[in-house]
Amino acid sequence: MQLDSVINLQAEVFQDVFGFVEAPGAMASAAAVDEVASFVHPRALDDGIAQVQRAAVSLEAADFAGYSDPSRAVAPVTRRARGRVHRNETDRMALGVGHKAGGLEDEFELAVVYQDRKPDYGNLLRQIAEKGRGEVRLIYGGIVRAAAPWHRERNSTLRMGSSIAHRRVGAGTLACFVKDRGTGRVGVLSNNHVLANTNNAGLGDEIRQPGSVDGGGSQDRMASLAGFVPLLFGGATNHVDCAWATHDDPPRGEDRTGRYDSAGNRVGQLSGVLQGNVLPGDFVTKIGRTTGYTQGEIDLINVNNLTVDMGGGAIARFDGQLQIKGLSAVPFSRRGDSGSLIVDQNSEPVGLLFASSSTGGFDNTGLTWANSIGIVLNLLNLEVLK
Amino acid sequence: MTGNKHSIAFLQRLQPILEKYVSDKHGVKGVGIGMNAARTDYVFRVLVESEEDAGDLPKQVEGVEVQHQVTGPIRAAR
Repeated sequence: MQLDSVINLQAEVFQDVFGFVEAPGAMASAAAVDEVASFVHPRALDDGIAQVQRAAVSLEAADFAGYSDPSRAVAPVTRRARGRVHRNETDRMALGVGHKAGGLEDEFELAVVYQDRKPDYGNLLRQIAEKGRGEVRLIYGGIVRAAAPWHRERNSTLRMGSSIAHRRVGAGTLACFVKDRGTGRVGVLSNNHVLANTNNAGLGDEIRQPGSVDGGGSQDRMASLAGFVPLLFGGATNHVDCAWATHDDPPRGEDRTGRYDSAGNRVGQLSGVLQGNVLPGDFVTKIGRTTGYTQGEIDLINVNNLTVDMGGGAIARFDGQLQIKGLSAVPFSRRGDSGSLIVDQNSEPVGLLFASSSTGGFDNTGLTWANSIGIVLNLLNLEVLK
Repeated sequence: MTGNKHSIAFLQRLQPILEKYVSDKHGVKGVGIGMNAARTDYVFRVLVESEEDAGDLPKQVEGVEVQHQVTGPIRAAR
């Protein structure tokens, strides 16, 4: 088919098979750049939903098909009456234009990308194929999900803030790259409860990046547990929750100093460890596996007798901790951010994040607690690589 | 911080006294040093699990204000 013919076919399928209508004016602006019409379901126009999602109306026009019309060929959306937008048949298909497989350079065909291995909308696919008179390619694309941010995925080049964990732990955060002051061995820093499974690990145990809740498996082993400070329970005093792991061979690439936000934009470069004392009111940031790059403020210093549930109701007591509050409605940290390196306004490390609450702080978004990084490094006999 | 009525070193010397007084009280999660809302002086802050746990906390120690802060449960962030 000629390109224009395929584009017309695409429009016909949207209108005649999906029951969509051409998006007017501003709604179609994303597609207007290419001078290609854009289609949405009529009820999307009524609800005004398409206006805020207009960028999706080109190939992903089917995203709005949850508002379908029972009189059309697509299945009625009875579940929408329950107050939620549910996926429908046309939610699970996208239409595009591509070169014809095995054809000449100027031969095109309509591509239908569907998400289910055994689709229950075979009738709809048949209608599309008939309309295209064989000039249609059906492509099983699998379930389409929003891409996870880099800090929850496998890093080919390791970064501070990425998902990491002992193989029996879900996920925590890679704080920074470190070197043993005695042996010179290089590795990564995080919490005991992330890398050493809250004392329940042995030296040499497998460390994965990403952690298992982020899809990490044995193929993602990147380090071996090299040391940890045991956590004490039963009322004894802890000062740190820390552990480190040495790289396995062959090591992955690593960016030892770059600090990145969730979009992958560089937001700073790690500096040396703060030599003085951090004070209440000091500005800090962190990059964590769950919440990414966030900004906060030192709320309290020298927090003593801090009692923390380390999991399963096991309470550990900590002295000399830092308390941090976020500076916006975004929480400074959440579960999975354990092990994040907290740095000051000069990107100098000041703390190792290990605990959080879901209440208190700015807008009641919760509070965060961290060990003093200087004590962590001294007890593990490490220095930060930069 | 310059201009503060009390120094951090002064509060650090007093902190054990306050900790001893509050450590056995129900719902107390910790004690730290912070700033007052006007950021003009350092204060003690007693962390409590719920507002009900703040009932009989002291208001000051040796002239240093004692505030309380509700945290809810504190958990390892994994």
